[in-house]
Amino acid sequence: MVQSHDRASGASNTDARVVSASEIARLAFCERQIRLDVLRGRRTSEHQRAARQRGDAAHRGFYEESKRLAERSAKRGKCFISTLALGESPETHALRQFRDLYLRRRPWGRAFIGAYYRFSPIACDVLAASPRLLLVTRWLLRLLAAAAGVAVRMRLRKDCSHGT
Amino acid sequence: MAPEAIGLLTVLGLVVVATLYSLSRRRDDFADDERGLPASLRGARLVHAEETFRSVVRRLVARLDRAYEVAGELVLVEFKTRRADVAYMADVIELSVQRVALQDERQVRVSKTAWVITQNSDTGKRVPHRVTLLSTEEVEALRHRYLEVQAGAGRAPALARSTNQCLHCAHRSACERKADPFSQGRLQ
Repeated sequence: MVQSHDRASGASNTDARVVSASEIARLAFCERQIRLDVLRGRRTSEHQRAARQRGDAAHRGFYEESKRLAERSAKRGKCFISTLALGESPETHALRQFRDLYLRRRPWGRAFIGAYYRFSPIACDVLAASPRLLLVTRWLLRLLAAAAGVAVRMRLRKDCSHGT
Repeated sequence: MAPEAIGLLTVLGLVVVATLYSLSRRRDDFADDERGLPASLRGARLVHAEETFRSVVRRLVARLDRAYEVAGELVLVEFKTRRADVAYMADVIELSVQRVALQDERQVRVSKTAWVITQNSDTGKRVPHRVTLLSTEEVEALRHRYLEVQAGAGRAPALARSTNQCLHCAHRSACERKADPFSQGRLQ
């Protein structure tokens, strides 16, 4: 039962408190439970404890997967040909967007990305050793990036019109 | 062919088979790490994993499971283990708070679309669910409401929408709503 003197106190005294995402998410389940936690102390049932244990075990596995994926992601960033040729420029950004919006969404595109990342370190080494080849690659990539930019803008307009 | 040559070829053959097997296993492990991810996130750059972010201005803190970089913005992923392969409103709220905290701390663009990966606690099968997140204003209103409920202020706290939740609640004996454990969640 919610007492009237509780209502009068308001939330202003605790308004400066930092609140976590998981705390706020509890509103979606049961507000009464949040209030009863304050009045009676936080309690968990046997069923809730068992569910949490199962969740924690699965979450540890997911975290291990995340660590391996993050390691692979970090390795990848170092051998991108356009980063070598153009640096962190709008052209490189357009090519990355094209990769994410077009290539990654198709099986053949993902296969191409996989092959590209496998062979790009070798290509980067060759380009780094040959300034003329790097210059030609830079111009080719600028042309590709211009085309990719148009394609990306088209896709983003389409995605926005579909409400995504 | 000399027996030595046959022996050498056999050893070489075994080495090649062992190498191919180990390479194929490695590829399987990589594919397995992306189990349950939607196609748009497969192979994407994982920027944050199990990191905590704070919004000092909005007094929020959130620990996110994963954030991928896709098309110049970050896409959040939340992992959940449950019996039903569904994403709940609680997941949307959690991810929305994560989005606000990450945006405020790092000043980066975070997508309003996020993913909840559910892992079935019985079968282990993972299913991705695309969700649309709440706005910053809605998150702030929810934070205010949470503090209100805790303080016993504002309108009376709402009861759980699903009475099935009441069956496993530790406060059942003290709550106004009591669900009969033998009546499939029907109210008494």
